Amino acid sequence: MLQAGYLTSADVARRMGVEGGTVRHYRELLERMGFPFSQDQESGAYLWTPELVEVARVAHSMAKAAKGVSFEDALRLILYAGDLARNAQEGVSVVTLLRGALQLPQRLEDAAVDLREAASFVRSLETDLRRRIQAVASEARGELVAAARQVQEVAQEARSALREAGSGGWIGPAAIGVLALGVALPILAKGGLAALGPYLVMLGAGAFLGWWAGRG
Amino acid sequence: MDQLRGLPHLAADGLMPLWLAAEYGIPARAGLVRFSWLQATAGAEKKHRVYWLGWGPECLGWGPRLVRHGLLCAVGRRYLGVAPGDWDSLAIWTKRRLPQGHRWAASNRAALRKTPRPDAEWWRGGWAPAAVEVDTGKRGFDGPEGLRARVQRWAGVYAGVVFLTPSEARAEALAWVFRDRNVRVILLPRWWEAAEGREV
Repeated sequence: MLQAGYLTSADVARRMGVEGGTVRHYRELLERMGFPFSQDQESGAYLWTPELVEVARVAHSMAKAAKGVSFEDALRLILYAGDLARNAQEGVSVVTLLRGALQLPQRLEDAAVDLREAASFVRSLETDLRRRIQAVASEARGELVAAARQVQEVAQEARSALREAGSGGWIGPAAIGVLALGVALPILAKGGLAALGPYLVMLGAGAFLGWWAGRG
Repeated sequence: MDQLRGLPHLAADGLMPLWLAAEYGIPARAGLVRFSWLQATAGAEKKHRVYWLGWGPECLGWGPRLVRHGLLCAVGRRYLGVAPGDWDSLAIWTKRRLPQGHRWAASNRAALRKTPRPDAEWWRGGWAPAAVEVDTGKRGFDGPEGLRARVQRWAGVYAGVVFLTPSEARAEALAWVFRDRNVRVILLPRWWEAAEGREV
């Protein structure tokens, strides 16, 4: 156990020249103030590190030397003095804190200026971004219009092609014309123009119907 | 902080020569520094001024014989290289036993009541510690028969016997008395200034 660097409560009592009960009380106070203690697993005896022993010894000596200072007061004083000493060693003091507090308004002003600059930068960034988006959108709109026009043209072409395909083109009328000439010439030779009248009326009606059907 | 690492050594021995404390890295302010005029062994003509470091205020009332016993125990432990957790210095701390020693003593209370207490108990593993006795030759130590009887009474209780002595003549005598027994005799001829020694 001692090989691991621990001391027993009896060792502490001998070191300070006090009774075992006093050491028990000191241990309880130290534990209450956050000092950690480990215990021997088999016997349950409390184990003191050399550092704890020295803290207790110093606190005991202080309490013994000064009237009205208890062991607990002495422990608090030691902790307070330790904090002060550490801060002093690190250069942290009331003066440096005060100096820092006095410099605070200037630092805040600097920070405000920085913030203002950052805001204007963000605003310019926003304008630029909006402009770029608009340019991209107008480009896209022109392209869309052109594409729509192309699509319309293609559709128109397709429609006319379909119409042509549906009506058969010029072959049909030509064939009808040849057929009409074939019918009209013998009639003209036999009976003159008067005999041709009903045929012409029929031809006109057929042409109108053809036109009317092909319009849609 | 490193200087605190040696405190368990000082706690185990109760007191130690200042040179030994320096070897362990214990500063003088970690305890009480005193000096004593001590004979190297009982009956020696010359006295040496030995500075020593004590664990607590209790050591202020110790007489020269007890101080010499304690110092010899501390130097002997150093010579043997025993860790503080394996050593109970009963010469200095009459009731000081570590938890392991406490358990062993509680289970052997009846046997220990009839057995003379050695100056130290050395735990080397096993079922019991070894008895460590400092022999300075005081009182003639009862003669060879008395010595044999003492070792005989330790035989069933302790796992071994080690004698520490500062006198060469005494070491030879002890070696002769225990020539047929398993007893280690260690001579510490300059214990007040160095942890030199040899097994006789």
